[in-house]
Amino acid sequence: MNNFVIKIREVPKHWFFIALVLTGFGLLTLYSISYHSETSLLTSRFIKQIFWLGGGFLIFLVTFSIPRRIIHKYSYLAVAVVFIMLFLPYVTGKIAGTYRWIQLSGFTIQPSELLKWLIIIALARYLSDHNLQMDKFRSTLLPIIFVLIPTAIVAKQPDLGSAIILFAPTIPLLYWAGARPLHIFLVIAPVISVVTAFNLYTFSIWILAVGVVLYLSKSGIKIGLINFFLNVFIGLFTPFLWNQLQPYQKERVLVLIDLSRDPYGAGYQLIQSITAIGSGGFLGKGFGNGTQTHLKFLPEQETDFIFSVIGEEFGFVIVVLILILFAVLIWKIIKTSFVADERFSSLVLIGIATILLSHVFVNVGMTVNLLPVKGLPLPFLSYGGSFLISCFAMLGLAMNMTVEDIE
Amino acid sequence: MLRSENYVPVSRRNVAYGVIIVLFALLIGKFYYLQIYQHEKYRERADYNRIRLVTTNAPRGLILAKNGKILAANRSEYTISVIPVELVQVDGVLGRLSSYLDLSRSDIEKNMIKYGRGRFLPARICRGIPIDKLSYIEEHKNELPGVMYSEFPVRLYPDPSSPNLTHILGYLREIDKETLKKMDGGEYQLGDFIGAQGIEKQYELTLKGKKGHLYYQVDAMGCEVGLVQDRPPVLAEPGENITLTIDADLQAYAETLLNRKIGAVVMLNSITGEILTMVSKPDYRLDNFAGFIDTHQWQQYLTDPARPLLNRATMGLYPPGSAMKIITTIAALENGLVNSNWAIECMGEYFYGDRIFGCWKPEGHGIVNMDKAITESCNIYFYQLVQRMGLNQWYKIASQFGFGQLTGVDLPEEYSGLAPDKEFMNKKYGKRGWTKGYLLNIAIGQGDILVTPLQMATFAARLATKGKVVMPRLVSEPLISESNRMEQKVKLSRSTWSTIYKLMYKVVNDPNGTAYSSRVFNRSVKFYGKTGTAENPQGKPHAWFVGFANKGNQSVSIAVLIENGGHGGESAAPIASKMIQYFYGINSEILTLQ
Repeated sequence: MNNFVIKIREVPKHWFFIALVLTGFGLLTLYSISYHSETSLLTSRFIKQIFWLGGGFLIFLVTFSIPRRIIHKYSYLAVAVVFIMLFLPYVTGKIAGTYRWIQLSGFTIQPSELLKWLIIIALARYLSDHNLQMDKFRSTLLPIIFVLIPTAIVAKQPDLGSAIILFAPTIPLLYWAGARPLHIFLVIAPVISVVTAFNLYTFSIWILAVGVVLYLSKSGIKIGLINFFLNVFIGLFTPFLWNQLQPYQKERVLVLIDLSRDPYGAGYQLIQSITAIGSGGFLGKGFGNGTQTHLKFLPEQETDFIFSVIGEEFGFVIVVLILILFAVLIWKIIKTSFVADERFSSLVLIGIATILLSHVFVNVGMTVNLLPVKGLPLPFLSYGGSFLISCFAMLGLAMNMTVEDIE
Repeated sequence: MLRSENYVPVSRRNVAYGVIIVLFALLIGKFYYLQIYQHEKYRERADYNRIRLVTTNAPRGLILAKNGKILAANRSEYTISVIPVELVQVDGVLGRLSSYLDLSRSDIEKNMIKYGRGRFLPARICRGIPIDKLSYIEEHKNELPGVMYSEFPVRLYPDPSSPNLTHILGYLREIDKETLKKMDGGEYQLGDFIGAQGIEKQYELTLKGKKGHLYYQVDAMGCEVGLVQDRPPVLAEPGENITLTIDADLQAYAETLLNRKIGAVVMLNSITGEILTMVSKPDYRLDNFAGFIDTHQWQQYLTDPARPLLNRATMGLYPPGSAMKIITTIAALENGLVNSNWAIECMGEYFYGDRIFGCWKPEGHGIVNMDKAITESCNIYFYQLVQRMGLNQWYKIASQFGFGQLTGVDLPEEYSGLAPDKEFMNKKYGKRGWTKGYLLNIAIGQGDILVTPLQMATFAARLATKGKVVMPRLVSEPLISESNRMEQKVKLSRSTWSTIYKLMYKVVNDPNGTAYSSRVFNRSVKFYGKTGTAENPQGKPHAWFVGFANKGNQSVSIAVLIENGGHGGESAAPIASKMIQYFYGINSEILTLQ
């Protein structure tokens, strides 16, 4: 207990307060949404979210107080267990047409939500335990393959948003651990070749870029040529392969990329979201006064598009305030990661920073059409039990990493 | 190894910082572009981007009588509402509206608060708009942005000659904010109607139907510009009709028989429990309550000492008087306390302890056996008989015939009355606080015993069917779920049944019987009954008649109560007799000739 008090004294408490302020904005917005609704406040999502917040605090205490060596020791086991859990939905059955959730008497669990930050811990352990020579290409490739397996399974559930978040921290972790930028480039390049292959113009530019990078990297003529032609081959082969697919197979891939196809057309949500945000102006329309929100033009306003509600009702000032709060939180985590003594803590912190950053950027970017719609919630603000609890779990974990373990 | 050292080059940290700065700058830049630079464009677009959700109300299901006569139907009333958020020029619109509707500005604003459901939903400001005013408003629609009218179905009682059925059908009530809060909304909205009494309340879910809705595209001026393409309208579904077991003609006849009286009549099919007639007087025409209730009239009904809102048939609690002697007799016979030949001498008075209990006939009945005791309703006989009886022996029979319990009729308003057992008396008076003296009163249906007219009719039905326990019903199958049916039977010995039948037959058909003047002149109809005269400290006694009449395999049971009617034989039994004759189609002219 005494150790716990010392731990609390040393920890950067303002992280927690930033999270609280963000959650407060989320609750305020949920309250505004339920304000004009005909149903009783007691059954509204506002009240439910407060209930979840209690769960969030509990989980926060757990992830914050577990000794670091325990986290380190059981990280592989935890990943293995949750990895197996990914298959359980195929036993308990589909929910809402996907295999994302495990149904347990009364409530549901989303294993990918857990796996998201457990993978970070496992990767951090892998990259810090073995005295890896990070300048070897193998050291970069193996962890990526390791993470790609659960990523592929989650993408097939289908839940592309979670799959992206699952994979996203891997590259920054490798980079932070000292991987050579060229190796990272070589791993990513084939993926970009596939994507650009559908347009001759973009593909030509891309292949030119690959050539330049390989030339400048001075990686030797053999490796350079192999990689160059590998990308050219992949790019040329992709359209051919694509045309071999049956229409229904193509449709499956397209649905995977664009999950949000809705009856009004994919553009509908975005237009309404942008209209909501744009019409909010500098100071917003005021609490409970958003016409886009309350006349139900804005879809999924409690979850994916909660930031559009904020934009409409609270305006540019609060939007910038919230974005700055996120930026400060992520910045501080990276800063702490940089000065950390242990590599394990440092890598866990950088992983959590990446998760937060990708959630914020993909979600907010989606509301203003900077990115295609992907259905990712906004940390601490969006409605949803699992996700809110998961966010506080990550916050506890991050704060746990900032202090020395007291033996 | 947890202890491996961390080393990250500054350049890599700076790349991370750089990524954060770039990404957040991108986001903030995009927000600046949308919210500051292009604000006007999107503000305009949002203003045009308006949908008005209009709910259409479902007409309630019809209520019909047994023979198909429509008792309650619907008509349309028009209401005018305003949507606060669309009132662009509040003063102009409300001023014009006020002059078009002859409604003061302050009344409009009061109603906007009273019926307000938030800035985005219509608040009703005026109702019952006549068609000429409505068309005027329709013509001036463009001057009235944010104003809309809608159709509102309200009850219509189509045939003014049909029976009142006031308490059976029940009235509807407007849902106010308090009620809405209590019942947690559901499908109801402020200002909707909900059944508040009788069948309307009992079968609310069946009758109410389902609301529909339309989406109108509304322009920035608050004017409707057509239906929204991608949100198809949902039509309102009318409620289901309900057919009652009430015989409209019989009911109307009963209502005229009770004119200017205070009291109740319940008549039911003894075998099925179907209620053919249920009258509670005084009543009123439901037309006064068809739409929005006139508060002045409502206050009048509420404060009327005759309590016209009370359904006396199910909620009126009265001492049963001599009619209860049947229960006492059955209890005595079933427990073998006396045989039917047991006799006493009635001197008109009976001394018990230091109190005197009188018979209704001050000069006394002379020698009284069971026959005479029931036929002429002698009290002294029962005072002596009950001396031999324990309270719980009496209570067992009373409860088997349904006293002290709800009948389970499908009406939301019913009282269970009171039938005392030992436990009750101990609780009320203390273990030693009551003596057999209390039993004297109970034996003749006075004191701690209260019944409703419906209980009395149910009691009669159980006698008529020799113990079949049926639940009185206003709506017959298939609306009633199977689980509601009781399959019990009151089991009495054969000799008890035949004695009771003989005695009750004599009450009506023996020249000395208390209801002899109400006998029926038709050989095929067997009319049984018992009169009651319940003492009442407030005035003249209440008059009772309870009985049943069989013809072939048909049987109807009846209970009549007239408040302050005096002798049961004089004021209650004739009404029962007329009802029976009307039901069996016996020409009542023969009766008047006699």
